[in-house]
Amino acid sequence: MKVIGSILEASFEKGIVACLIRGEDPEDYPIGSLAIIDTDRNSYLAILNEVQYTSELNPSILMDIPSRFRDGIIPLVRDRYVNYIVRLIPVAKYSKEKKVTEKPDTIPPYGARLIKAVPDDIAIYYGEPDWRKTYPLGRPKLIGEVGYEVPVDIKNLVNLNFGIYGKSGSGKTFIANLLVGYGILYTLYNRGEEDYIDIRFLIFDMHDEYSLEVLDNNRRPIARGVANIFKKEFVIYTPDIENTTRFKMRYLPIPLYDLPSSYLRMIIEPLGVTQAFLDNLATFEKKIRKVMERSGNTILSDPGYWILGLILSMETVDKIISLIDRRETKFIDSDRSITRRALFELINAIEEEIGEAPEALKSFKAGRRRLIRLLNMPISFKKKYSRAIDEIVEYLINPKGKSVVISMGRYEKTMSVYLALANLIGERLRIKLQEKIAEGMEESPTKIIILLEEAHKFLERKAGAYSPFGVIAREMRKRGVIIVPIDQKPGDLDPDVTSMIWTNMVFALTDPKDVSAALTGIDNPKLYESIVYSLKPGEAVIYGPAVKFPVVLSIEDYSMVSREFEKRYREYLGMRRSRSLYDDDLSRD
Amino acid sequence: MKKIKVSRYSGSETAVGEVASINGNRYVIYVYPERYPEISIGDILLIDSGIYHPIIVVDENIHRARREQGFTPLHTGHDELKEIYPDADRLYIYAISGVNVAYADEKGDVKIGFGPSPRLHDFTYDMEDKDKESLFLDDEDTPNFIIIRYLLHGARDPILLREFIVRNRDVITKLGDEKGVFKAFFDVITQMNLGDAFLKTAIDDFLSIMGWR
Repeated sequence: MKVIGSILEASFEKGIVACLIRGEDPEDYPIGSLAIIDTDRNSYLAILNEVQYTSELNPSILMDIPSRFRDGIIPLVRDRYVNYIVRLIPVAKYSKEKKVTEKPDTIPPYGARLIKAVPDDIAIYYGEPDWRKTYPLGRPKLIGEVGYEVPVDIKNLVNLNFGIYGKSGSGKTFIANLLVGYGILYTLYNRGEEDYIDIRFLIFDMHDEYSLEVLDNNRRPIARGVANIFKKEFVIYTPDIENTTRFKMRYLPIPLYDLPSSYLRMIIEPLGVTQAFLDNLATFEKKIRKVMERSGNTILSDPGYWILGLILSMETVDKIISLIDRRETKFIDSDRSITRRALFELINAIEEEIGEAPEALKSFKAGRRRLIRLLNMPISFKKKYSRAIDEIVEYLINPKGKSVVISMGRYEKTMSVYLALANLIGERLRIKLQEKIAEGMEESPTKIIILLEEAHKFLERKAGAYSPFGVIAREMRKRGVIIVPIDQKPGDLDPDVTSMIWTNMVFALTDPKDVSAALTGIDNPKLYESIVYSLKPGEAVIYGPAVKFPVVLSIEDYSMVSREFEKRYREYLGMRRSRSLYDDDLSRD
Repeated sequence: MKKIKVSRYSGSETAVGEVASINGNRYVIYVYPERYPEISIGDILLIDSGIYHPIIVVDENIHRARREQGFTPLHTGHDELKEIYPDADRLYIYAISGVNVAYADEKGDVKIGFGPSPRLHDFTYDMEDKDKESLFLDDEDTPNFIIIRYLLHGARDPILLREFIVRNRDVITKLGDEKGVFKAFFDVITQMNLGDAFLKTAIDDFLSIMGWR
């Protein structure tokens, strides 16, 4: 036990102040390190959140001395006149008498020993990963020590909403892949056991880093994404048709066939349509469907294509024909002029119908111009893609299903496509679950975990904004669905949502508003702010039920862990094959 | 540790005066009139007191009339007065006071600190430069200015310190490389809780007197 200092001040509100003993080098004390405070009755685990020093010598005296002399006396001044002060946040207490760890409810006495924490000390508080129910999340900063991994308790993690925050390049995707991999292993290893949780992930994969490869900050691949490792446990969908053949993913365009206006609203809202247009959308739907039903047009008499009627205009007919031509052939007559004429007739009929209310027609035409952008998105009017969303929901809910990844492919930067697909799936999932609840379902048979990148786009503060994920986050947790916001702007998230996030993984953030939001829920959040500002890429403040006590971790290197995933998954599949062979033999006997 | 040859300091011939009174660590030395002009504030003197040899730093010069009726200005000046009255010096007291800072034992080992007190009439000698070095060196012969702590023990007087450095500049110069010497000085001076102003002055004086500015 190496004593490194003495406690001088302590309070719950302001934390603990200790003075390091002479000879200690402040450079050995990185912010976020763990240290132990030892008293006769307890030991306390504490996180270092500030290192500072004060000199008893007036600095102007030193600065008046010529530099050639000053350099020689600096070590003397440092050793004799400088007091190194560290500030610590007590995060846990270990009672030597009861031999239990708990949240600290007392403060250490004056003069208590500050000691260097070694892995064995830390393990008392956090436990050890067993690769069954708990998995290595990262290494805490210790003063001069390495080699201990703080475990994440998967069951505790997925029981309640959790969030991952950090600015771009800070390590959010690495940890998310890591946690998804652990969740999959947990499911595979613990199937059939008591308290087993059948975890399903729904991952909106903006940059294909779950479905294909995880990239470093220079966009170089460093490891296979988690769904690319646990291949049999995932179904991967993509709106990028090229990836369907290249990577054998399932095609998932934005399915517009027979899509109700209530769903369409979520898709077109980000395109900048006016509120009046949105308010009238249900009326437009009704009227366009009516026109199409009565048109007797051989090409477009199916009201399921009403959205086509919504976006058609004289100016866009040719564009629509050529676009639709490539993707959908159903309503394109071999004679293009016939198609063209039919579409013109349809436009006139729709405008006539809507024009009964001149104001509505004005709003319709203005909104329609905005909707041209839909044509640049991966849309489809084929019926089968409308069923794809239900298929995804079924994969998630059905105990025989799989986890799902929506891999955005070349639409990685097209936020409108991402929002459209995510909202459609989210809404369908919400409705499906509500139907099941109405039928008497207490809880989803599977634990559905939705990883939502750019979460503030779905869970923003904006009053009155509807998002299926907002409803899911607020109302579905007890039904077995949790939302995992992955975001660089937690300050923009709805506080109602952030307040319901229990385990938080906070990487480096710079905006005080984001730091404050990310630390909602930790005791004495102000004390942690300096730590969050000082985090390096790959480091995070973790707090909540998934780790027993708050801790600053250097998150496990995903490229290393991914190899462990591959190895373990191979072993698991091999074991399952041999078990099924053995079962077959028995049955033959 | 360097030794000094204490036998060099004996007899009346080389003595500058005799111990006249002792008050704690401050001694008054009556100086022989002819040696009086040689002695300045900041000088280091050694007293032959038998086994021990107390070492003092002069911090005050005292020169006054012996008789009770005191001094009368005669409009002659000192030199003319001596021509008229060759034994005029007998009517006056030539004295210095000094602060005890160290002592040498019979083997010549020098120790910084208050030593045993001298006796009245013990001969007092001006210390030779080569012997003074030992007052500024520690057991490993590295520069050490702990003597200053004893010098300023009674009176925290920046002028006395300055004079001490001035009078011993040549000795200090020989102690070693300037950085090591300054560090040793800084080491001691900053431990004395002298206050910022004194500390600044002391450091500035030291560097200036040594020509290291």
